[in-house]
Amino acid sequence: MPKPQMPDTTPQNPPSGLHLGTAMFHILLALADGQKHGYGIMREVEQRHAVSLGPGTLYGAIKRMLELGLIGEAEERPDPMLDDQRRRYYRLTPAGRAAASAEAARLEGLVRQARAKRLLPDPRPETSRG
Amino acid sequence: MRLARNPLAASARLYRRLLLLYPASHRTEYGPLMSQLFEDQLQAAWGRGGRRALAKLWGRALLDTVSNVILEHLDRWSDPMRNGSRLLLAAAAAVLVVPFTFVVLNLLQYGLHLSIPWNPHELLWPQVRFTVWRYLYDAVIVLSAPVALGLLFARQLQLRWRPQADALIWVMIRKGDRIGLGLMALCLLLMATMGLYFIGENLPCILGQRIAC
Repeated sequence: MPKPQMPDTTPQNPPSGLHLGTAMFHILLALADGQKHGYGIMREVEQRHAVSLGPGTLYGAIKRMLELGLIGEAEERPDPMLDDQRRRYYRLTPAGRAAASAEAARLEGLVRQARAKRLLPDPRPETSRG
Repeated sequence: MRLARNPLAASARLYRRLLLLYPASHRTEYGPLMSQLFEDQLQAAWGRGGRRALAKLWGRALLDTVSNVILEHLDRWSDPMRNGSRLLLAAAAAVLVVPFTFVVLNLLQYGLHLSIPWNPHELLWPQVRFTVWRYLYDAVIVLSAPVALGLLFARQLQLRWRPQADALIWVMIRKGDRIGLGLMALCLLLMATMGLYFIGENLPCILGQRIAC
């Protein structure tokens, strides 16, 4: 079967108004500090965010992110003696970093609103009174 | 029971079978990776909590598979590029329908001497033979195959298969494009039949052996 190819997306210009799904954002966060393979991404998301990504969800999101140019396959691989050569490693692209930053800023704005409406406690330490 | 003896191997095998539900293109690209990831999850779950953890993992895996299989199939059908290519394929098939029907019916009637009174060629040809409509009739029959070939070539461009004019068939073979190859074979068959027909029809005229051509 032919491999579907999407239009090229310039890595420096992520699609404007792109709304990242939860799985995509978690994957971008996991890749923010370095390249990882699928199982590495899944473990990090599970450990840090207590979110479980199944193989279908993980690779479905990876496929879409590759098409959008948010992540890329890493060319550098660990030592073959230390790693399974069947694994594919993924890295964040500049477009992916920009999209993750934009999404984080959006979420930060939502958290600020939640604080303003007293749905969340104020994180600033209370100053001594009197 | 094999499952009881080696639940990890049995689970991995069963998951590989479940992957058959995904669209072929997705399966080819990501199937081995998904299978490997599930095997890693199986090992981790087995180490963490034995059969109970495996059962939990299977529950999550089934939900994950069902939702993503539906999503991938929907995604595949809503891809505008693929829809465009399907339209071009359908157009190529439609262009070939009329001349191919004519050729098959004529072969049956004149080659195998079967009686087909409703053969459109039999009904139309006497009407148009000595009129200007004959050229339209000929054009529909003769140009259909090259037009269909052009549509197949446009489809390859649409799919970004980077075809070259001389490598049209090789690209299709490499991509395992059975429908495209079938239509291509039909085009070539049609062109060959038309060629033979016109040679048979006109050569005697050219050689001066027939008077009314």
